[in-house]
Amino acid sequence: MTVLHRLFKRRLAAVALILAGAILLLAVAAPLIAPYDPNNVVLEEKLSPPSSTHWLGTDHLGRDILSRLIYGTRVSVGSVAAIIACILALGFVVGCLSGYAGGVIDAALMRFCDVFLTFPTFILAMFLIGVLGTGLTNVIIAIVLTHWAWYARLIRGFVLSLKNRDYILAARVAGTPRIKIVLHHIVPPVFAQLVILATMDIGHMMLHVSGLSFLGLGVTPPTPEWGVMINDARQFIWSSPRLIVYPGLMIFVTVMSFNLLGDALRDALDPTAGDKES
Amino acid sequence: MSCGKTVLEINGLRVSLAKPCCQGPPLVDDVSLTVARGQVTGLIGESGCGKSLTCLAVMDLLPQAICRSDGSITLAGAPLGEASVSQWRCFRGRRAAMVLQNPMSCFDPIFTIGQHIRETLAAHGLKGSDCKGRVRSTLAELDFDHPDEILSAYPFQLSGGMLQRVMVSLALLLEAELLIVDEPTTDLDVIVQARILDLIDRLRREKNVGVLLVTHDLSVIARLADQVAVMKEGRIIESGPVADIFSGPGEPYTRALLSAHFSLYGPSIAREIRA
Repeated sequence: MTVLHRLFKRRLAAVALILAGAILLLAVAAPLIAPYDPNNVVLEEKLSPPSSTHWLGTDHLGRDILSRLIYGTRVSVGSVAAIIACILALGFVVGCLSGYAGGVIDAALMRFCDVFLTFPTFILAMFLIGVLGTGLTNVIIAIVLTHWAWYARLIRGFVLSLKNRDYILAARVAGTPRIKIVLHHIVPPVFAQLVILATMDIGHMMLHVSGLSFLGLGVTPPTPEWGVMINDARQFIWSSPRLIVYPGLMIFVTVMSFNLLGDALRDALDPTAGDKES
Repeated sequence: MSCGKTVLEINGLRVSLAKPCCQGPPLVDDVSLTVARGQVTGLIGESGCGKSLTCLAVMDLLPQAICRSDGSITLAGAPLGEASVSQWRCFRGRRAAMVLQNPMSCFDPIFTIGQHIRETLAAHGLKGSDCKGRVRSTLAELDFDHPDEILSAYPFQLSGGMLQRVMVSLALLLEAELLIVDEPTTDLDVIVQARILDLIDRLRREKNVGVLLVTHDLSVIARLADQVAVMKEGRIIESGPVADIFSGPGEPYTRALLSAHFSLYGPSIAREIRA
């Protein structure tokens, strides 16, 4: 690998990091940054093109698109953060229990996981929303329920590979309680691996939320959300295509930057690369 | 043998596979051993004869698929069968410490030595600043010139011999009565080996610790042990004082083991031992 190539790779990682940081900032500081109230309907200004007052123009109800995009970040990023946190928590508990305890507990938990793994996630999520009803909370619950089993499986695998290390035996020999062994010697290395995986999955989850919102199952209008905005703009796709392009671009940029960040993290935190140095 | 002097007593220990479907001959059968305070009992035998399983059975740490099917283990007057899981956990480390084979992989690479020691001490309810002083003085006692540097070092920054000494220091800190050493010198060079063995010998003399020394290295046994038991295919075939076994082995297997050793290291050792 040439130096130039490596440099380019690093620069890409830097771009991804800046973009992801900017998106998080948009989500946190939305009320400070957004120029207008995202739900402020001004019908006389509907479908106006980009101008100095409305930088990205307005939608079919005269709402400022830029403000809606900025507020939409909140919903998208917030829901994805909630999803990832829930999945990791659930995955960690089930995976560690299953991997460390082994035996009957392991078999029972893994068969339970298999039930979730057999269904296509999107179909299962739609089915769950059909049962639970529409709304953002239910979308989050549905996505968590359809995805946690993957993480539980992976975490179990990591735990199994760590469980028989000599230092775990040494800790047991020294009389360290089980729960402490798991928390001190098993969770940290597993967590390091999972952060990478979760970062790469952020884009996937975001598409899920937007996809379900687009179908009218998730966030309901008038709440600003990228999937909802695309759905709203559908009927104007020929007259003002820009309405559909902006939220699409936001989804694209966000997903891409988190994917790149995950890639860069994996390269930077690769344990085998660390081994070579030590 | 009085109970006060014996620190570990194994009686008729049998270890076999837990699943009834794959029930073959037991892995360890009818093993009886005693370790007295201030004495070293050696356990020798070829690889795979059940030495390590015997050790793990004493610590109640057998792998999931393997269980103790018969026999009793008495540690410092307390039988293993009667203690609860948490009581036995307190025994481990506190009353009976174990030094494992490969020191390099016995420490979690993401924690410093100090954190390891703190964790072990905390597991036995020892915390606070007076512990810190004791850790330092114990490390100094084990010939570490700069205890503070050792405490802040990561396991991979230390050599195998140093890590082995750190492990011994844990036993010392918790004032264990029984020290089980499972092939303590396999991964180490001769000079470091000698140092570790001297250390174990010193512990035995000064702290009156009973030592169960497991090895396949006869010279280690000759150097340290008072009593020796020879193990073959899960059974103890011969046991007695070291000098007796070395000078007049009763079993053909023991004789073969000794002659193999002497053919490698020359007859001078044999003469030394007899003398």
